[in-house]
Amino acid sequence: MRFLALLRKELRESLPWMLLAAIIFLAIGGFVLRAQAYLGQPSWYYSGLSPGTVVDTYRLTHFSPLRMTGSWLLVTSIGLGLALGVRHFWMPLFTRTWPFLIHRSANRPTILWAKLAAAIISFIIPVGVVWVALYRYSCRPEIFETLPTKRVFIEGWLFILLGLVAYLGTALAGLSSARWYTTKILGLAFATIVICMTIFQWRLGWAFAVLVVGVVVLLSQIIDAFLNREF
Amino acid sequence: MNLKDNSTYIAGPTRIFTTVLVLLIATAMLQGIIISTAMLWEARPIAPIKKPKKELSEAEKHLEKIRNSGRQFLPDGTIHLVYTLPDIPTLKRAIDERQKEIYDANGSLLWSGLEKNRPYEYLSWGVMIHGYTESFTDTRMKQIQMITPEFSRSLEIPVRSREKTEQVWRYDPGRQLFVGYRSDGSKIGYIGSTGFTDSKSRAKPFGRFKLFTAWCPQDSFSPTLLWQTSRRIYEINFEKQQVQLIFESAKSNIKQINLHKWRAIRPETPQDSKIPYRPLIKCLTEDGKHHLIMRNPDRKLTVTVDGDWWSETISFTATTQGIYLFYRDTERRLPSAFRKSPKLALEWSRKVRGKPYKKWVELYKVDNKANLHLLNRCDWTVPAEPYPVVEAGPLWTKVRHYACQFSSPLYDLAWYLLGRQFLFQLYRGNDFIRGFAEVTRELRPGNSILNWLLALAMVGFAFWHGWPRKTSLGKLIFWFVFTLVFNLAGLLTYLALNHTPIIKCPLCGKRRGLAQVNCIRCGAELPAPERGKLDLILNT
Amino acid sequence: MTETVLETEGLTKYYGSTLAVDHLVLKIPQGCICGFVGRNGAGKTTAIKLMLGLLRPTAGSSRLLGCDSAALTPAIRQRIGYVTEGHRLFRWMSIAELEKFQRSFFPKQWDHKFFADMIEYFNLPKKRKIKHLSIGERAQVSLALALAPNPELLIMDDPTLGLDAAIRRQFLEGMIELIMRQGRTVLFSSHILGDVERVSDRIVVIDKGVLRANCSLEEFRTAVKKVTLSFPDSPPADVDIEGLLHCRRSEKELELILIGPADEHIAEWAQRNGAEKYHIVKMNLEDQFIEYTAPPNHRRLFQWEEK
Repeated sequence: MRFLALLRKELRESLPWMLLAAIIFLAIGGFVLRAQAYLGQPSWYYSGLSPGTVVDTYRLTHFSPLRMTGSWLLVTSIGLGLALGVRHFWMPLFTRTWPFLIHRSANRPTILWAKLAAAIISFIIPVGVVWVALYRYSCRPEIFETLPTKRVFIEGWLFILLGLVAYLGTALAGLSSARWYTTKILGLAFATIVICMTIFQWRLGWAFAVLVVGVVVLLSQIIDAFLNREF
Repeated sequence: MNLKDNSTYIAGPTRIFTTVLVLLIATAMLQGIIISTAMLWEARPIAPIKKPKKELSEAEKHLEKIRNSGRQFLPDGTIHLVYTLPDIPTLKRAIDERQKEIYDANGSLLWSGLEKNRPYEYLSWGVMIHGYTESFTDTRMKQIQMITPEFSRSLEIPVRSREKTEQVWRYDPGRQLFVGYRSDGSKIGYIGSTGFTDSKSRAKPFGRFKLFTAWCPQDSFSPTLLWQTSRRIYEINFEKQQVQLIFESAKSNIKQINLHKWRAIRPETPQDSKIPYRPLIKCLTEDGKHHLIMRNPDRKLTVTVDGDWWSETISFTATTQGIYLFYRDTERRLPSAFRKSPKLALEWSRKVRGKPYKKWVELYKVDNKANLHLLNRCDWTVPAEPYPVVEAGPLWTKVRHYACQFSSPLYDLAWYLLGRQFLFQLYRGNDFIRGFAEVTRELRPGNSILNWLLALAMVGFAFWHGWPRKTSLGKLIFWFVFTLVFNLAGLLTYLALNHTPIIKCPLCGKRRGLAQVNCIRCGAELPAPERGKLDLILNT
Repeated sequence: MTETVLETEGLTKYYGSTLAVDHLVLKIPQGCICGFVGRNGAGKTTAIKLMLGLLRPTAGSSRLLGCDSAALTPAIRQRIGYVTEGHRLFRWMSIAELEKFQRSFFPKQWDHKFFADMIEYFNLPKKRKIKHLSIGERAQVSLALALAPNPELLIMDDPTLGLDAAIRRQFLEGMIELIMRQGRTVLFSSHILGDVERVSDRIVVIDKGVLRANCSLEEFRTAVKKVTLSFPDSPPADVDIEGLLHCRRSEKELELILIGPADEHIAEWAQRNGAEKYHIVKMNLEDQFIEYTAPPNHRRLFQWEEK
């Protein structure tokens, strides 16, 4: 009951950001996806294919119609992660509500799990559901000439998880009691490194491995910082 | 595992890992900025030796032409020197509109005119599939699979008519085969190393991809692929859903392939169609053997050349009259004895720099038993040229040297243990590890005493800082070793994670930390304040 | 024997190299109303947070309701009400939502009728959001939230800060309501000594992190005295009266701050030293506190010259 009360409270605080992320991603991501449909058959890809000629191999590589949507998905996820991290871990500092929250008759891990659970739900519902919907829409051959691969679907979820990494980095920075010009931003710096290392992998396995290692590193420090921090 | 264990066993090490990683990157960036700034400040190439411009005599002009001519062979082995007259730079004429002069081996002029009117038909040679557009390598395959904010790309081969695309065959890098789809999105089947199948389980992978090239046959709008893996070459026709194994190397990986007239495309020049060539693929394997695969009729031949030959400049061609080998070489080529280290290579290039050297070309005929018979040879001397050298200025070199002394000694250790191959082998692996290897190469201290002295100085500072704050000897020793190993980044990490408050001990007056109960010097606890005699402390 | 609800043993806290609380040794018995007073920066809020486990001590320990402050369990926290400094609540919640949130942590002991009565008494609309409340109204909500679970121990950090006199009176009356319930203990810090005087039966004084007084209010009020003495000539150089804390002298007068001596001793000393007359100044708690915590050789900020 305590956990649910805390979870409801965190979700309610996250609600405006969830809605904003969902609306931005649906509107802009959907718009740029739909714009791909209006290009019709990408004849320029195959315009060099005439009999008796060497083929420009570049023309044989295709982006999925979700190409521009992917950029927006990544930006939205990371933006949502930063916003939620600030909301959950920086705002209580500014509004000085940490003592009130910590003194609830719930142990500290419960309070932390509620925040993390709220963050995970905040990513899955607004961003995840919209992503699934856009992906399903892009798989319609009557609308799009080039269909996305299943790998693109997984990559989209990877971007959503990168938003979670941004959230964890912001959380760790918020929980650090160091000064901003010393090591306070290390959490954010490390999250940035993990994000960069993940999106420039060419093997999905490696990308997920980097992501998992990053999440474990950040999460362990967040748990330690939250349990031992002074409020 | 409970949360307390997390604090002890995981959070602590991960905190150290996070901090040292970020600080290593930050110090590397700072070092890079300092070195680049010094380089920009003092970017000065040593001025090239200016050749006094003097007017050349006719004989000298003729000699110049001969030296700069291309060496071409007729099918009977005769060598011609083909000189292309310099064109007006802004004009950019087509190849067959260029003005040419043809000389014999003695330098006598045989013909002059436009390329398209050339009366001689020279042998053309197999070339590597090169160019960004013609060849698609494993590096590009990796690049298109890179996730990036725009998602990864896919390789898709269409089967189409003039008007529309009927099918699309998409390459699955994980399964190393193609999956076919109709235009309505329904699946057709799979194309693997054994050909077409509609069953996923029966589809066999092609193998580790290396390179492909594609062309549209003369009667089709759909590409056919020449697909090379580590040991095999396939020809894949998607329209006919056929896979043909062209070549398989039993023992050794394929290093390079050259094509000549293999792709059934329209001839580029009128002369092209006059010599009866046979389609040919030359496949160089890592054991140094040249495998020839020919058609019309189908035939395979393996040619072994002299071990010292420059494999990359050997070309073949096959006609109905025979099989020919073209070889070119130069005295400037790095001998194998000097290939052992970059230092020796630099020594060699400095030795030959600015001196005249010989070049030569040879034409061989290859018989049925793959023996080589020299048909003709032509050599000439390239005169000495002043060699403009761009060397790093002394300031930049010094700044680089000193900036690198703040790097971790581990960089040197990594290169000592793994060597130069570290970089090249990992080229195929993770790009970030390769990036790390490049950074360690650029910023390594170079086994310098100064590096170790600096590291010891860092340890000294850490000792001065850490001794009054000491909570356990083991932790202190760990941090000293850590600082020694990671140098500046290590010291900054230590300070970031251990800069705990410090006060003057009320008893001995020396610095003491607050993390431990007793003063490290005198052993005194933090004293309680003196109780005022008049304080109203009445615990009733 | 009265149970101790709160005790600290050598509680010390450094912020960097600044000492905030210095070896605080305190015992608060059950059932008392303890005023925790000190100047600005004395260490009151730090001490309270140490006791509640929100801060980690540099040295020493603290126990609340028999449990170590560093390891307060949810069950123990349920028995402690805490009103934070500045009444910081979730601004986006309405009073009703805040009650629902708070109630989840006290499934068995939440007194909804009491909370509703208090809100009605303070005339607060339940649907109004916290951010739309004034600081006084927030204080009232904080008190209601803290009292509704019927806590055994109520800790309040400067609860009347920023409140006007009327709201403060209401707030204190609410506190008295709790006091009337048997066995409840209240510890509150305040700058307003009038409030402390009105409700407390025990006083704890902390000055620069050091405990200066921990006694009943009555004992404090009785012990701290200000005496002015007039002399025909200059006052004696050596003032050797028992319990002397501060001594201020002018041309013919002495002003003494004394701790503890009986009135008879004062009279006897005055007579012995040739004082023309002496007068024991009647001080309220605020005056007593100021004099008690004044540093030695304290110079008034404004010193008017006599013309």
